[in-house]
Amino acid sequence: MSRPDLSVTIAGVRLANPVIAASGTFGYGCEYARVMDVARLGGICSKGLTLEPRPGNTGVRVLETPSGLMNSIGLENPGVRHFLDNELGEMLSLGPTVIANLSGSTLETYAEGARLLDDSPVAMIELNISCPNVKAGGMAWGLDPAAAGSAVAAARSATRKPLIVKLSPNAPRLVDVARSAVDSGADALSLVNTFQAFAVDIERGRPVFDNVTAGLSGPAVRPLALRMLRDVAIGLGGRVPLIGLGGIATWQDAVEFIMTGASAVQVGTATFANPHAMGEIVDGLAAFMTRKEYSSISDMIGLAL
Amino acid sequence: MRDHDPRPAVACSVLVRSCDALGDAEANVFRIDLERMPVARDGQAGRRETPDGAIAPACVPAPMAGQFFMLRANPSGVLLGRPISVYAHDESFISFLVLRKGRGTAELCALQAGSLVDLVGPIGNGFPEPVSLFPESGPAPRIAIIGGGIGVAPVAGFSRNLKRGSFDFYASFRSTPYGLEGIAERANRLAITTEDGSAGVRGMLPAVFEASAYDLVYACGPTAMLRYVKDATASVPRVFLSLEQRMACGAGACLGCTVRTVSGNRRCCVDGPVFDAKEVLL
Repeated sequence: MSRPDLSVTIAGVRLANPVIAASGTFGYGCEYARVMDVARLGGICSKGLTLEPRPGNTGVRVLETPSGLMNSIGLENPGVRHFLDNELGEMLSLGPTVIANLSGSTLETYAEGARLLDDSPVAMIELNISCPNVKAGGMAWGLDPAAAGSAVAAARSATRKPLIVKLSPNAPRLVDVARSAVDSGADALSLVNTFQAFAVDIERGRPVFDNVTAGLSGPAVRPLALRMLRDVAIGLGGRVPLIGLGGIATWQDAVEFIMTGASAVQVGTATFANPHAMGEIVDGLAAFMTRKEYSSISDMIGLAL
Repeated sequence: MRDHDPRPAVACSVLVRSCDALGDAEANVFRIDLERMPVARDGQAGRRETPDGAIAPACVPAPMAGQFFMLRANPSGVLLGRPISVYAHDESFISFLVLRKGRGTAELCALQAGSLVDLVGPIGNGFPEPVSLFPESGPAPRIAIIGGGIGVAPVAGFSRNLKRGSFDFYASFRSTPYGLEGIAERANRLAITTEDGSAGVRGMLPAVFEASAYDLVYACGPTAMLRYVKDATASVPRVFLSLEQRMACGAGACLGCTVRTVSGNRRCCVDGPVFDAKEVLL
């Protein structure tokens, strides 16, 4: 049979394949450019951007755990305007679909950030309502259905770009948050961001992280993320495309997420462990689809639901 | 800093040539020599297609003094590589000194000849050469090189680039010294301190170091020592500190290793690990 078609279309935007570099793990796309062929990715999410520059958190920022990584970066970024003027040009030249990840602390900053991005060549906006590592805003928006709806509505009113909303696994009613985001204008959902976690420096008898809690990612969270994807896929019944993430490191992991309802996947922590991980996932998906005679990604989406 | 790309150039697996404990007292420091020839997944050395289609280099690029690699045993029970400075290299191998500290470094120190290591690198800016800092027409700068504990590795490596007799070398340890092969012969002066008095002067760096005697200082070691060096060398024209941080990506992507400087945050991995002491906030 002919080569399988790995391309996917999400909210009207075509990606060459369903493998996307997750926000905060791939800088602005150029950092890994010498090690791997970045052009082979389906998409790249920028580091989380805020309207104004942020210096991020003090103290320890990363800590490895069994099969996982805790981080407390705190949305260090140069601000949306700096991104548009400096980082975006090179990011666009790389080839993969460019997705700007946007955070806000107030409804006004979500709206203003989205308005600035609306006027730019980014293909899509991923609205981050799930960063666990900042005090004001961040994840607070993603924990409650009404708050999530208001943040999404604020961004929606400021842009016509396709809007992906990135969900927090820490929401007690995740499916309700997902539904509210879609009702308020989300074109797609990505899930899940990191899990709020805690670690103790036993020599000092104090939290490891200055910000006390930190976000857990990596293979350790994968089965949890997959179960949440399943909940949302079933709960929303295909209203919008879903982008799965959380501990994906191999093509087999990616297939699991796709069969659980994801149209595309994001890969983050795995790139740190193996910079070739995303390229291997693209190749592995193609080989698997050939072997199973799936002609397109859509043949696999939701098979296991 | 020199004009080169501080981002990692390759990610591949290589063979361990040797892995030996240094000294006998605690045997917590190991010298690991890695072949520079990448190994394919089937165990065959030589050129190969990488999984993402690029042709792997025939050879891991030669590091510059002060650069480091992310190293992880293969197979490994840990997720991420550990940032380890280059100690020495030639056409066929790269050598590292590894302090056994946690699980990742314990795996590295337990390697045997013929084992595999996953590496990402070389990474970072490296030490600026004296000729790039002081005009050759003027008097030669008086140079001090300072290594504390495992921090001796990158500065010892760097000192091999310097003219014989053109520098003084200070090495401070808790106990038995290591990593100083060939230094005494090449340095104008080698001063060693140990906290337990097992070698050299009993005490720490301030017992032997006189900053006013120098125009140019390079140091790597524990943060407390670097803080002392930064303060003590306030009147020394040029001072460079190589910093250590927890790292996740080693590529400048994750912002996990941020260092504070007078001009804002910098990434220890690709904006460093070598920083101007007058700019970095410790």
